[in-house]
Parts: sequence; structure tokens; C-alpha cells
Amino acid sequence: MKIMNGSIQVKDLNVWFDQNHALKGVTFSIPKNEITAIIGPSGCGKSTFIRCVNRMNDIVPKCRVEGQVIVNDKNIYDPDVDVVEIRRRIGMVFQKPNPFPKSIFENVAYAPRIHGREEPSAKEKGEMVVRKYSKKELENLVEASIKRAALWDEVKDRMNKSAYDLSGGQQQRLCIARTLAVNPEILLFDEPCSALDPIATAKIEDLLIDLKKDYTVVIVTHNMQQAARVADKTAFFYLGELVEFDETEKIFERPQEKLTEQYITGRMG
Amino acid sequence: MTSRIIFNQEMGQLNLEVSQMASLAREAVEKAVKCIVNKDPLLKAEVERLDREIYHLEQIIEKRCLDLIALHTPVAGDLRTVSTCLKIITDLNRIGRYASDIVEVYDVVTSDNGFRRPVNIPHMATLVVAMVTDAIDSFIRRDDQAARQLFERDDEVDCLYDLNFRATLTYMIEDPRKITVGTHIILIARYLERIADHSCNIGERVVYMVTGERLNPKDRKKSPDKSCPKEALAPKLDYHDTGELSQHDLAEK
Repeated sequence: MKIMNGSIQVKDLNVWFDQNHALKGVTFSIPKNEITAIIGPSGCGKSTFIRCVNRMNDIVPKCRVEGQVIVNDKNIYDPDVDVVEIRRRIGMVFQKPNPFPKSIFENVAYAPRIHGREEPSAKEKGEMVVRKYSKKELENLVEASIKRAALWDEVKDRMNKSAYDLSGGQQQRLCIARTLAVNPEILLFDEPCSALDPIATAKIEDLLIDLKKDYTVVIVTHNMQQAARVADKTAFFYLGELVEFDETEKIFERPQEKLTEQYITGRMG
Repeated sequence: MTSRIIFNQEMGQLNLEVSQMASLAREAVEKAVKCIVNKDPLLKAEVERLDREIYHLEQIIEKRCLDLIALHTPVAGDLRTVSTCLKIITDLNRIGRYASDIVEVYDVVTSDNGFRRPVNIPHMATLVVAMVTDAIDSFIRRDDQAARQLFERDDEVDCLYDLNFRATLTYMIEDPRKITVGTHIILIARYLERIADHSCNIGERVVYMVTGERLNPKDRKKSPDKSCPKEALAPKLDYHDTGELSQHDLAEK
């Protein structure tokens, strides 16, 4: 498959879990500032793929990854890559909302407080100087992140309440705010709406469309209509292989591969 | 029963109803042409009945398509099939209407004041009925190649319409008493030409349904120079009341 100039370039990516060859020679390019949906039946390698993009599979025992995932001209699997920095730049939101057992404010403030703030003047000189956020800076960052996640109006009066008091949809948007607070470039979503009702789902989908202006978004979903609604491009995986990757409209109107057609029309198996 | 089984049943029913509607439309055109050419007034009521039945089926099919979209959210080939059905029922309904319009002018064109010279209507009708038949068959057989062949044949019908127009106009100039019947002959030719266009529309939608390719209506014309294909100029056989074909005039006296 042709490699385009994308935000994430995946070249011949293979993943094994012990003897199980979970991803087989996946090669494609995820475009910048677009939403790319990953669809396919259970066990096809969707989640394995998305977890490769920020090296989450590193922590899985007996997992072996070969091939390249290139972000900003750098293979994230090179030995000199800082994995913590990779996960800051490539944020991830999971299927089930997983806020920390802390206040709403602390959920968002937690990561920036640990990572610290990069000094812009030093960055201009090509130096890496990190300092702690001041209290005011942290408050501003938390507010901006929660606003960006379209949650501010619902939580601004109860920032010190437990995140567990929020509804499922609000918790998921809080997790998105938490990811945004460390200034990522790429956002990965692993079935972010599967535990949410249609109203909360609609809010997350609206948010995703808004976020693509500033971020590259990759979403794994079982809900094909969700992929059709929000994604610019769609990739169909089957048995660890990338079967088809194209404009979402084309995938759902006139797919080129018979397997894709069989899957999306519910005639597989 | 799973939703997928219900969906497949609904799609099967949709195909059946569209095929049924298409057969009625073809029958309406055939009978309208026979009614005029063979001067058979009994067929007039039959064509009008068919037109009403076609309209009724259009309503049923449109509702089925909308239900399928609302309840089952079809995609890919299924989506193209539903959208094609939604589009071609309009063409089939129009074909039925034109058949009804043709028999509406029965009294005028079969009057004693008819034409002595051929005006190509029977030949044109033969071509048009064949086009309707082939368009419908291409839908039933999902044959995009057969559908594409319709476009060239439409040029032939367009050409015959032009010839008919010029010839009829000449007769009307020669004898102003024939203006009324001549105008109605031109109308019949126009209806037949439009039926051929609707057959091409069906063909265009069949190509989309089968391949996903959207044809540009401007590109489907194969003869941009507007010169008539030889087939259109060659004398052809006309409808006879036995269903056989014979060469005769509309109102030979």
C-alpha cells in the first residue's frame, strides 16, 4: 500500500503475542488533523494496532513488535525513544471511563504537575528546560483543558468534587480533558462510547469532530455507524491484516474488497 | 428471528416488488403502442388500469425503501440497491404515465383525418419497448454491461424523434387540416423518446448499483455529432395485432 505523507506512518507492522501473530504486515498512513476509524470484528487486531501507536503493548508480557510506526519522521520503536514522552504526545482514551479516585480538578492537574511545563523561551533555542507549573498556571490549564473537552459548563461549580460523582459521559470527557492537559499531538480512542448512552455518545462524537482541528484522531469502534458519522478515513482489519483503507464515504458506499462489504453489511461468517 | 434475517427478507421483497412494477411498466408501454398502431380501443382502459397499479406500487416501494433505511441502515451494495430502487421507481412511474398519455390521444390519431405516410412511430415504439425490456432485465440480472448498451440505443431513438418531427411538420404544412393529428403524433413520438430516456436512467442506476460508478449523464451519449445511426434510418417492422410485426402506416387510406 502506498505510503502517504501522514501524521502517523505505519510500515510493515507485525505483532506477536507469544505464538499468536496478531498483526500481519500492516502498512498505511494516518493523515494529520483527520479522524481515522479502525473497524473490524472482535480479535481482528484493532486494539492491538491502536496500542502499538503509543507503545502500550510494551507492558504486555510476551508481546513482540516488528516494523515501524513513524511520528514526526521518527520511529517510535527506535531504542533511543523516551516512551513516557511518546505517551504524552500520543494520548489515549479507553473504552470504560477511568478517572482517578480524585477530584475533578486533580484528575486534569495530575499529569501536568508531574510532567512540568516546557519553557517556551528555551524551546526556541532548541533547549529542553522544564519547570513546575505555578498554581495559577495549573488552574488556567485545567480550565482550558476541561473547556476544550466541552465539559466546563457542567463541572465548573464542583471542581473539588470526586470525579466519580460525574455521569459516564462526563467521566469520559474528563478523561479526554486529562489527555489534552499534557498537550498531545495525537489522540487515540479505544471504543470511547461503547459504555455510553446515545446522548453522551453524541456529545463525544461532536467533541471528536471539533478536536480534529487541532489533533490527529484515531478511533477504534465496533459501531460502524459511528465510524460513518465521524471518521474521514476508515481502515478495515480482518484476522490481523489491513484489508482496506480509504475515505469513509467510499468504504460505506462502494468498498473495493469483498471482505469489507461482507463485514459492513453483516454478512460475514 | 434476527434483524439480519428480517433485513434479507425485506430486501428480497423490495427486489420482487420493483421487478413487478417494472413488468407492469413494460406491459403498459407495449399495450399503449399496440392500442395506437392496431387501433384497438379496448387496450386504452387496460393501459390506464396499469398506470394506476404502477402508481400504487410506487407508493408501497417508496415506503419499504424508507423503512429499510430508517430501521436497518443499509451500507455498501445494500445501500446502492435501496437507493437505486428509490430512484428507478420514479422512472418506472413516469414510463407508466407516458403510456397512459399515449392512449389519451387515441381518438385524435386514429381519426379519419390521419396520415397516409409513415411517421416512424411503430419503428420507434419497437425500439423503445426493447429498451424498456432490456433496462428492466439489466436490473433483474444485475448486468451493468447490458445497462451501458442502452445509452447508444437512446441516440437511435432521439434521431427517430427528430425525423418524426420534421416529417410530421412537413405533412402539417402541406395540409393544415392535419395540424391537430400531426401535433398529437409529435406528442406520441416525444413520449416514446422520453420513455427511452427513462430506460437510460434505469440503466445508469443499474451501473451504479452493480459497480458503485456514478455516470455523468452528459458522458453517456455516444454520438455527439447528432448524426443518425444507420439502424435508425433503416425501415423496420411495426406492431401488428397478432403480436407479430408487419410494415404498415398509422392511418393508411
